[in-house]
Amino acid sequence: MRVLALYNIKGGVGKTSSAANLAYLAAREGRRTLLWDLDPQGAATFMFRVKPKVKGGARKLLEGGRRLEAVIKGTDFEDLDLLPADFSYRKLDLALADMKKPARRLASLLQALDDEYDEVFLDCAPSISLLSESVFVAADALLVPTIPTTLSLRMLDRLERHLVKRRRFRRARILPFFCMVDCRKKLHREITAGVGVQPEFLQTSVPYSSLVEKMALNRAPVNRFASWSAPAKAYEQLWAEIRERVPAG
Amino acid sequence: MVQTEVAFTVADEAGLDRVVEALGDRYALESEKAVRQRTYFDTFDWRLWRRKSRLWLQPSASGPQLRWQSEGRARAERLDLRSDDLQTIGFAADLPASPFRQKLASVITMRRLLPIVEVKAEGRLLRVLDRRRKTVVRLVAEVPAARAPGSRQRRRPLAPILIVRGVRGYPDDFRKLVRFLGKELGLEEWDADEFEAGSALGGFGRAGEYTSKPNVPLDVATPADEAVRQVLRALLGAIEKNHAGTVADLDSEFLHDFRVAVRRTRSALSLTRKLWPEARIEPLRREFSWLGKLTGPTRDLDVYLLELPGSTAKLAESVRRDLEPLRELLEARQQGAQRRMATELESARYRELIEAWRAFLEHPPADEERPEAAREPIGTVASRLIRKAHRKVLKRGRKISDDSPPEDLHRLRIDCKKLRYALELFRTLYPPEEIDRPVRALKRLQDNLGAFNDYGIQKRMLVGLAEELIDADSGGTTAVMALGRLVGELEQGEARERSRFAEAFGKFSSAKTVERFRVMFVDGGSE
Repeated sequence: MRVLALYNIKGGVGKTSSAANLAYLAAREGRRTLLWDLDPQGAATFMFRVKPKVKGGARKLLEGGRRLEAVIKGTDFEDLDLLPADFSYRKLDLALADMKKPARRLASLLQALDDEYDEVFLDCAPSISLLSESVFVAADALLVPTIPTTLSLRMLDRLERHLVKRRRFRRARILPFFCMVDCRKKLHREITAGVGVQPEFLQTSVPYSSLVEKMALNRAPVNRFASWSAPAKAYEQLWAEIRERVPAG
Repeated sequence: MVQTEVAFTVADEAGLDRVVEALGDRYALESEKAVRQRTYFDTFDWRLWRRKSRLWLQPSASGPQLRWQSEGRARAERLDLRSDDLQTIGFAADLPASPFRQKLASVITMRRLLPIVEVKAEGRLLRVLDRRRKTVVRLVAEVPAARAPGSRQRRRPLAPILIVRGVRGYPDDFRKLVRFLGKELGLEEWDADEFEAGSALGGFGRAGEYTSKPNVPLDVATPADEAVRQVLRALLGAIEKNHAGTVADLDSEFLHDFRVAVRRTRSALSLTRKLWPEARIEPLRREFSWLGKLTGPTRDLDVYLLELPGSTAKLAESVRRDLEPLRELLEARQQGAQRRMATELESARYRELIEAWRAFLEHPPADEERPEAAREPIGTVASRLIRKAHRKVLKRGRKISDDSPPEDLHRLRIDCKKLRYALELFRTLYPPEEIDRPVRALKRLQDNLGAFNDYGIQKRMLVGLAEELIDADSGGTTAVMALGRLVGELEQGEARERSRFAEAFGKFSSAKTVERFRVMFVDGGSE
């Protein structure tokens, strides 16, 4: 099982869209795929037409056991399942803090699903918290959608330094990629050209497109309803690159 | 585990359309065209089918995949392949290294995967939507059709099928839909499967038809010659079924099974010599002896090649690398022996033997030609033959001491084989749970004698190859040195088995086991 987290401290950078499209592409290849919507706003859950409701709420879910399996829902797409968000996820951090070894919690919950899924995508809430630490421990790679602006790059730098300092987070590789790239903006062009040579960056950039925004309307990934489009092609390339860079667990 | 898939069968395509229409009246449906294609594989002896599992090749968005659905697993395991060329799927070792391959290898071992049937199903994928237009159940309505893999024949239609698949987290919708189809529309659940339905198209018979251990149920009261003929006919069937695969060298086990059937035929003939008119049986026995000798060298080389990884496993990695020229030499020899054997197996002499043999089995000798013993019931004759073979083993075995030469053990091994064949030949005359014990006791002794013998043969063969290896283009000298290490291993194994003989024979000749034989194969009369 390979665990990939879509993560960024900032919001509105394309985490959910990327998680949904990448998860869809993995499932289309016949990989048994689970998308876990960890964001209490529940954008991914809404997109896949699932009720944003987890029986028992965040606290019960974290206790693990059979509960995790019981709340998973199939989506409209074969081989793609969803662990829905719940509004109580906003208190996930508090619940985690009460538990033993909170940073290892998510990893051990996912362990129980090892037989059932080949790929797990974590759609994380924008923040840096106890929950994100738990994600850093559980994930094989952090896929960081990054808008090509100076501030975004600075945040990325901060994140990297934070992870490198802490031994238990070192397992997860940080794989940033540019997202919502607008070729009409000079700054976007300059920044993407500048960091293209940095080895840790994924080479594929996902362009800005109103089609991506239409995902919530169409309730489907771009790669489903507009597979011909530029962002869909970019996601395909991005997925191929990720598969190559992150060995299947 | 909750059942999440149910299949229904529908009489014809029009019926399937009507069902889909009825579903549309009742549920919100989304429909799209769907095509499914699979090429199923199995071994000649149906190892996957026997485990209630299916292995198939299918195209996918990311390239061809091998899928393996085993019993009790919710979902098929998969392995990505580079090519969908049927020729590239053969032995487990040819597949990409993976846990999938490892598991498959433990099931099929040295057998080749053969393409059995190609199924293409055209139809529709239907999604049942709830009020939020969320998919809650999936349906596949399709008309599958089958043909021989890789052929250009027209596909033969199989019965239309409606598969209902639950979506995780929506068990109630699944249950309701299944009830609607079963109770209200009165559809019948599908209980066959497309692999079995199309299995005969591959040219290897129906699924499960071939087994390397044919079981011919005999009746104790049948006249002895007629009963033995029944067994011999089954053995002829095994010879013929394995002939093509042996000639084509599909895998080593065709020849193995071919030889086992020939050897059983020969030993049955020699055991029951007194049941037949001598003039008719002698020429056939001579020809079968030719067939046995003809197939020997190839089988010996097959065995060396199959056992090489095991016998070198204990050696250091570097020594194993040095032995590479040995493996190449063995392979070259095997190919040569195989070619020569295949030519003979396609010769007129072979065909004439099989025809004469069939004629003998189908046209029993006239009554006045039949020897006295042929008219006796098989029950009496079988017990007598087994008793005799058993006595012979005991007599020879008891004479063997720690100082006896290998030749004595070799002769005992042959006697054991004859006893074993007699037991196997007539096993259906005895209660299965009772005949198994003497067979097991004998088998343990045979394992010991067989291993001892194999070590000796392998050792002598390797020493014989040393000279040829020295002349090899490169690496000859290092290979011979490595070979020395291997011979050392084999000598140790040989000595180990020799030292275990006394105990193995002791158990077989214990009062308890001997008594078991006596009770089982009662002396019914004079001999």
